[in-house]
Amino acid sequence: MDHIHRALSVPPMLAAVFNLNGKAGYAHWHFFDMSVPNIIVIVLALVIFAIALFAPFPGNPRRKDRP
Amino acid sequence: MTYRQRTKALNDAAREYHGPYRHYDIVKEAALALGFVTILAVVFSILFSSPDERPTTIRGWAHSTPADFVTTAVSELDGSSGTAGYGPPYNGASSGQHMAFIYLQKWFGIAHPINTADDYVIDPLRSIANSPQLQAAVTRYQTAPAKQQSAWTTAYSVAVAKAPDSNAGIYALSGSSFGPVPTMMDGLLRLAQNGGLDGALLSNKQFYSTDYTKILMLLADGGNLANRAQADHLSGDQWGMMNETGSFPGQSWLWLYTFWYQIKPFSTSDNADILVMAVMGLLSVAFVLVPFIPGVRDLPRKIPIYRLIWREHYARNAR
Amino acid sequence: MSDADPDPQQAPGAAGPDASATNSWTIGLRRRLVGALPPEKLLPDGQPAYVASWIYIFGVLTLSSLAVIIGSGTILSLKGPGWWHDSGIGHFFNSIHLWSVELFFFFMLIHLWGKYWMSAWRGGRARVWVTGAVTFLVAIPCALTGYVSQQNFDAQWISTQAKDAMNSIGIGSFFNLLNFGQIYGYHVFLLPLAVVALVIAHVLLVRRHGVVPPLPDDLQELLSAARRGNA
Repeated sequence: MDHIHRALSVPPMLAAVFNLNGKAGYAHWHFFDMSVPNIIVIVLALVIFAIALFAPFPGNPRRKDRP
Repeated sequence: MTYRQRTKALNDAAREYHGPYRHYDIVKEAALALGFVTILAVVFSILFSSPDERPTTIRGWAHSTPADFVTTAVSELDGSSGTAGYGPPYNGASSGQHMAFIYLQKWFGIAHPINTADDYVIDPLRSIANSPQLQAAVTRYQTAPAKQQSAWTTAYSVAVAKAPDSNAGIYALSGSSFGPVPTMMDGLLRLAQNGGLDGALLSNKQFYSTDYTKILMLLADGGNLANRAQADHLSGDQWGMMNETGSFPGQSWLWLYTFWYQIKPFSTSDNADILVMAVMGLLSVAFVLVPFIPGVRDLPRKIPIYRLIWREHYARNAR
Repeated sequence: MSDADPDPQQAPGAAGPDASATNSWTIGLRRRLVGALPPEKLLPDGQPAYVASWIYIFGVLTLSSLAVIIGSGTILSLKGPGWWHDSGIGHFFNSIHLWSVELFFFFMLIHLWGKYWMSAWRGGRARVWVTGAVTFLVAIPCALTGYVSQQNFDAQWISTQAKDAMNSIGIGSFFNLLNFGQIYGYHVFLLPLAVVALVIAHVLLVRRHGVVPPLPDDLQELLSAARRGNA
């Protein structure tokens, strides 16, 4: 039955530090069904957007004239 | 001030800027950004790598679930498979999907013809040399009337559904009500299990072919590919369009495309694809034309996130 | 043209006194281009003082991600589409290609959110928005053709599923996701060319029109601005 294993196995690669080839977790609510990795990415995008809006921006000496 | 006047005033006010400038090194910024993103991509690659699940082959499929393979093969033979009934661009069995009177699938015609009985069963069996019994069975099937063929394949399909999912279980099926079908299916199963059907379908047109249409359509008709997808949460009704194999992040930007397939009327419609494409087509056009759509283009003024972005500018102006 | 020493006034680039009456396409085009994008606009060393928020870095981050996508994609194409299955180094570059795509869409969406809430299409900048939006829409099939070119189980599943959407609107007859050779060509050449052309147009339009000024603080300021515009 090595054909099954061959069909399902992952070929050799430089080993990753974290193996993400296992089954993902899912958040399921009514028809909403999203993978945890995707939820992380979306939440991260919203968080980074918020940080970009609120984080103070370092000031530079200003010039009054046009460059 | 009317809406039009206000919109024009907003646009005119934004054309030119006469206020203070700050020092800025655009080339340094680009270089830093490029360096940052390169390091980020390399770090993610070292930490997580990328998925690469081996493809399903007909050989692997026929070995792991011979009953499913044979069931699919019979449905290709008697024209009851998904591909056989698909319609354009593969055949004329149906008109395909439509939206009201718009039959785009039909109007663009049959560009990649597939005759499922010939391409998946008859021609591959005919290619097997030194098999007089098998060839005689194929001839018997081909020369029988359509009603007889249908009676044989239907009876055989019912029997396969009850048989054990093993080579022995398939080879044990025999009986006059099945006609030549068991001999044909036994031959096809052996051909599939030794890789011959993969080969036959990959080089069916010419020596150098990059067109995998026929073999992929056969694989998609069977249960093996679909079961793997279901296990990996990639099916259409599992928001699969957004997902990747394993625990990798997928394509979260496709959330709205896949969303429609989860709700009625799309989730229960035979025309789901053309309906979703129509909705997304309209929304895409609207997205491109946001600057010209009243209401949508005014929302940023009404929900003042801009006050956060330009707070320093407003504070300076107030002083 | 004689072989004698060229008249300095006829040297290339030094348009003579009667150049204004010229019907030279070259001079005309050069004037238009330099007029629209003089060097100090193309590569400015100053920016308006209101560009003072971290939200402004996401455009250049998106652009950088695109550069890494193209760079890693170029290396992958050097060894062909099957390389990454058999080679650890090949797999590593495939990983860089995949993660830079994730970063590209990630940064692009934050950039889009920022630009929307800034109403960045104001003041004659509608084409900036349009080119950006179309870039996003073209990047999606570019990514799709990439996923379909992986030559693994994912490619098998995605192509056999997405083909239904293509077929339903008729384009499946000439854009066959199940034809690897065709789709690989779209992925490594045709669609990246379209994305790059759109991005160049987008960036040049931003340089041309400048970064959009802030929304007026209040109605009074708006009316004053309108009066100034009409003056």
